[in-house]
Amino acid sequence: MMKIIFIASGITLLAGSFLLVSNAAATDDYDVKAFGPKSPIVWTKPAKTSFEHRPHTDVAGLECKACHGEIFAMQRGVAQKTGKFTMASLADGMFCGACHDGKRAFASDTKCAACHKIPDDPIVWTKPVKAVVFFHETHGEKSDLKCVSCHDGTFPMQVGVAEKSSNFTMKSIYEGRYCGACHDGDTAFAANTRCNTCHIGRKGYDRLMGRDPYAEKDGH
Amino acid sequence: MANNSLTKIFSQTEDTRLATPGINWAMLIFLIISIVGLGLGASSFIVGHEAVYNNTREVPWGLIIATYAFWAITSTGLCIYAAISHLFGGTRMAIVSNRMVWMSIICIMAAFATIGVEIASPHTMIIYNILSPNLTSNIWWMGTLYGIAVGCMILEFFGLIKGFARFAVVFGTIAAIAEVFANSCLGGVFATLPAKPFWYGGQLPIYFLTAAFLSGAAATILFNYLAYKIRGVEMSAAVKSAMHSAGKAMTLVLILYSVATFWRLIMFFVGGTELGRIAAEALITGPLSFFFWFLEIGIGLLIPMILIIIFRLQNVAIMATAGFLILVGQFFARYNMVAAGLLVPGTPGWDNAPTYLDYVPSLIEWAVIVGSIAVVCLGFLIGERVFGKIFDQKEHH
Amino acid sequence: MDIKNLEKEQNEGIESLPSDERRKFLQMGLAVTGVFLGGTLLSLTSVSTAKGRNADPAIPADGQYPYTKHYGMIMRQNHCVGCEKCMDACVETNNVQIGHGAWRTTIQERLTPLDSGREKREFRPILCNQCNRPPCVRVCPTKATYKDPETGIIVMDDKKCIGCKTCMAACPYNARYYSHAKHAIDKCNFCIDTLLAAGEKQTACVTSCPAHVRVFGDLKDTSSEIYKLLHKPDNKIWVIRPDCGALPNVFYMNA
Repeated sequence: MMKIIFIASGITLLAGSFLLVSNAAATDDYDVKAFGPKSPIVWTKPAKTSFEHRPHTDVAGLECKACHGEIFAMQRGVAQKTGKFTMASLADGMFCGACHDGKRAFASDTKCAACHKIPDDPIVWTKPVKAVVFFHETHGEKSDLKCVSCHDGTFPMQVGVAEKSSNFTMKSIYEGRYCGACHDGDTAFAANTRCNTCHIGRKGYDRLMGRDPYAEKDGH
Repeated sequence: MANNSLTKIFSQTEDTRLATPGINWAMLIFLIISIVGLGLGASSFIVGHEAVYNNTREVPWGLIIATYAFWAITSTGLCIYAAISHLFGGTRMAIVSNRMVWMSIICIMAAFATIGVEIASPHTMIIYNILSPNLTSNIWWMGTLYGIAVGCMILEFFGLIKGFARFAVVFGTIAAIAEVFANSCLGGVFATLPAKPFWYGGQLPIYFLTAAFLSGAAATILFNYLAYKIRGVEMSAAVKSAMHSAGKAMTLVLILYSVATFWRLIMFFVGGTELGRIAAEALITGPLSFFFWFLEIGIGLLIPMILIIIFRLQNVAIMATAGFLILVGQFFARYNMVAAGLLVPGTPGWDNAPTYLDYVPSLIEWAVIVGSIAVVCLGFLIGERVFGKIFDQKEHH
Repeated sequence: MDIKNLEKEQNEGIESLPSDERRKFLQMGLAVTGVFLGGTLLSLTSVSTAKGRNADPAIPADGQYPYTKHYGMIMRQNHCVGCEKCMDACVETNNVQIGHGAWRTTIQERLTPLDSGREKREFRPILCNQCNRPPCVRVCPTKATYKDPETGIIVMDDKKCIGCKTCMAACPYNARYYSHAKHAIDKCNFCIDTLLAAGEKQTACVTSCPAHVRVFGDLKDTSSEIYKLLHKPDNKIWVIRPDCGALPNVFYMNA
């Protein structure tokens, strides 16, 4: 009896591990038509960006060598490790900017959402106070604002950059920086009014994180 | 010497008919229950009240305070009827008034035992009630007056044993006055808190006094009925007539009390503050509705009323049943009063406050209540056994 | 006076009773109720000097402050963002043993659904209101809680506390809790023992607030910010649970 259980569980484990391995391999599945990986390349630094091979190869007819070599290393993660993989360097003709210059392909400072994915709402800041929320939905889709209206002039697109700055305060917002660029009482409601439209407090933060905001903080 | 004189007194007062193994066993069992029940409550002094009682910051009181109020109010009722009988004589209840004095003492002892395990630092109370009295505090007056009352009742009882009639009447009267004022202050503890609109207002102290007359009459009939039951003896005509008088008082007060209950609740639905109305709704439709409709109104008022109407106070056993049901109802009435006032959050709308706060008495709270009931049962049996001879004056003197 | 004339008389309301008459009436009432609720002689709280302004009984009339230094606090409520830094500072400064609902100050939150499907969010700081007619002080059997005669701050004498919890039931602000560590009721005392005693001018919650929500000070000091805010003619000031008649010294406004 024991033997049967032992063998059965052994087989299950083995089958499971095969499944896992094949899953891991799937992300790097080669797509013949794309001349590259099936799934999109995703960069997370400095901001979340995705790239699909197929529109560039199969549709646009580019050879591998057109990009791989001088412009992009074939190896994963190299571009974003250089520290130069920014919109500024793209404008200077580096990386995607080699083609996306407004002539050969749409300029890199247009059609942001073609490569950049708008993150899930809300954006939550916890410094200097817990917590402030921002919804892309209300600012983008429901208004005339474009990505460039805020990024990167007013707000760095990269996650956590604004928050790390000692300047990310109500004072500098009142002086017209960050949210204050529009929230001046003219373009949008003034930043020193309706505080709790954006400030959700610690209780709001807990609720957002799926915790009971009224639970005792010491674990009782 | 002292022992000798005590033995002498007891030999004159004890009822040897009750020197049976059955009664001894019952006394032992009640003693154990009261020690265990109150002992569980006393464990709060070691592990902390918050660990054994389900009271919180928002609901600082609960079942135990309600039970304290119940015993204290019953004690007041017994004491008043006894004092009226002793003072004015001639009432037919006078014949059983000694037993009422004893049971009044026992009930207030049960009340003290109950609140003793509810207050966080009772030892501090004993010291600073004397050293640092706050004369604006209802709690201070209540404690002090009940203390005076119990002292006077013990002296009164001593007078009754020794046959010092005048002495007994004087202390009995002081005790009754102290009990009435103490009861009034107990009502005042709740009635003078504007933070709790369900309690606040002039009606509550009168309501408590009415409750005392109701519980006192009910307890008088019940304890006398039991006193004869455990002896297996028929009541004499005089005692039966006393029961009839008590029954009349009970009926009259039952009506008054029901009217007071009705208007007390109606008031919250014709205006006033939202908090009072929400509290009243806790009884009518909310979390206390079973306790209210079934136990307080049904068991405690309606069924006794029906029993009285059908049997017209002729049958002592039926009256005792009605009295018992009234006491049960009164117990839950106290709980409902305390709980309804506290279950309502003070700032509705803020902090996601529920309509009603979550308070369900803990098992240890119930254990304390069972312990306090055992104290009364034990006290009753001790009284009958040791002082039984003087409890029915005219028959034994 | 005939009834027709009487009809024409305007109802003065109980709030506009001349204070002398009111005082006489109170004295009479207190003489009748006597020992139960305490006459002025027995009172701890100088009730006769603690009264409200005619128009708005919850706000003290200018200059009518019973204490040598009459401390109070104004909350600029709509500036509170619920970050709870005040609570952290209070816990640290006053060594509040967290657990079982222990707090000396807290931030309350109110969410009101709007037609748009969103919620209106409000925060409200709350702490002991240091009332002029404090229910807690009146009900305490052993004077374990009392108003400091110098500052009007309601303080605890821990050793006298019997733990009857009547003050907790009496407080309209839920400002009190039983501290197992202290074997006594604990409550906000405007940092009287931790900061004010050391010469500090502000409480921990005030100093830690990033939005300058809390304004603390001496109402007797006409140059203080709290005095100016409280008596600025067009400032709408309110208090919590005015119906309790406790005459709180913590006020609320929108800045």
